[in-house]
Amino acid sequence: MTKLLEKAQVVENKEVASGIYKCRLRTSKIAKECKPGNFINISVGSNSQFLLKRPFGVHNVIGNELEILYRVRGKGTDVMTSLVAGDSLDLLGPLGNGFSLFEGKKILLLGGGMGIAPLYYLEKELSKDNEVITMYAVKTREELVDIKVSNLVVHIDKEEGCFACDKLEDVLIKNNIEMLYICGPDALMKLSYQIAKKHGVYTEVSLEARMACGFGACVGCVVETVSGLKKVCNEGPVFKAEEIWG
Amino acid sequence: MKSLEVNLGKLVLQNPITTASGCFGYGTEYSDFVDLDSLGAITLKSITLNQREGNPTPRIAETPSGMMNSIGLANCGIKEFIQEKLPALEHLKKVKVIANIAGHSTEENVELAEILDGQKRVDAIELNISCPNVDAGGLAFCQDMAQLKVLLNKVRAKTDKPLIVKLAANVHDIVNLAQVCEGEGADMLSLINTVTGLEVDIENRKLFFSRGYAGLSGPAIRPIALKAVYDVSRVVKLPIIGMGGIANIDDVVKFLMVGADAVSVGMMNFVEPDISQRLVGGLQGYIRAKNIGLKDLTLN
Repeated sequence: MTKLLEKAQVVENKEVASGIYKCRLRTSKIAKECKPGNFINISVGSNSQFLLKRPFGVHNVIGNELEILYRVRGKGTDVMTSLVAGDSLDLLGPLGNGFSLFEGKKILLLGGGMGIAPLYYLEKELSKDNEVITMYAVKTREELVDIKVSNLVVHIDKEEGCFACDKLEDVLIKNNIEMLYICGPDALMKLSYQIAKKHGVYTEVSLEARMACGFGACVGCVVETVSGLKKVCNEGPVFKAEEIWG
Repeated sequence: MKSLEVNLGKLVLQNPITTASGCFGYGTEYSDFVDLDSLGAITLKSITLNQREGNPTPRIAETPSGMMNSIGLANCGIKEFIQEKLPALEHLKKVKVIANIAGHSTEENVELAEILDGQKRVDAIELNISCPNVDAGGLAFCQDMAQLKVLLNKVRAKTDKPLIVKLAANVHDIVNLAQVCEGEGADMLSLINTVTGLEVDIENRKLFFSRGYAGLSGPAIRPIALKAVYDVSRVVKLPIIGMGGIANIDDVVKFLMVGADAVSVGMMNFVEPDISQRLVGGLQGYIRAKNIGLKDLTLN
């Protein structure tokens, strides 16, 4: 997979939940090359405060357009909220290794908060050839993004008085889940994997890390694995959960 | 087309655009973006005898016009370097390959130089005595002239390849340091390494990096780097590879004008991975438009 540098045009950039934005970008080649689990690096603007590109998981691909979902979390994402249709920005991608794709399996996707971002695109691809359930966990209703997938289970911590992983075991057993894909906070991923492991459910996780380049040169984004430090950018961001937590 | 060839003593480059160690991986990371053979030289990531995992995360912080890093010389070790990294560059015919060594002791650097001396694909050896992110070796070598002399002498004795010494600007007297290098057999100098700095995590009321100090790079340090090149080039005769926040062709020209013979692109490779190759074209365009040669890029 060749990594490409392109100028992309903003098609739409709108708030889709409290402090959460969806940005659609028109690309010439990158969108078509993106597989579920890949990420792209975006230059936030020409402001020298933000030289480094920001990594975002690919949320959706429609023809030559791609979407990212982002939460305003720092100065860079704050600046991004002012992007409007027609704005042009530097894009680098596709980056990283995607999720493993299977056929004829019973699969559960578990997205915690912004972790839903890459799972939406994964669901679109996997649901062609598999039975897929998407479990989407958020803390509060305000941060819930309207996600359109066929089998959606929404979990709101505050309203249910428990975490999504507290219900995970039931979902795994009841639906005879064979594969689990998780993206979300570390604690959610780790706990969920431990439950999945108990039931012999193959698990992949998508990690997040600070990085300068996104393609393996800076060595800034390492994560501890059972076989030493690995780079999230080009050895991940998708890892087998057993590689991370044993 | 005007020639961009530069003669750095024993090392001849097809053009003066090179990449800085630590910002260009082992070269192949950039092959999707850059025709490596279009560059003057690539300087590979610092290498040590044994594999090094490097420092704990976070290793990266963004700053105005730059970034800080505390990678800690993470590298694959000399064995894998020779077995896997160098062969991946074997097919390149025009670009020069500079191996950067960063042993924690004099002995380790001597051993690394001896091993690399036997490697055909290594065109020059850069001795990194200015990394701020390690406990032993690194910047400490810049602060003890007696130890530095011993180091340079012993490394020099082990290799006939062009020997570059990479210095830091945050030292007591960089001109004196450069003179010591010149006196002890260095063939050229790389100026400058990252500038030591500090970042604070105010949310958790602690220092951001686990080691506290980290290295600042990018356009933020360019004026410091220009000064170092200017000061050193007026006193020392060795060829100088200037680096520190080069982000466009004007920056390249500034370094050449104040006394650099070649330049290295560092942090900006992360931001614009194709920048090094674009700068080769940019420099060609610059001298063509002015109808001058590289040698004319001097101060009045």
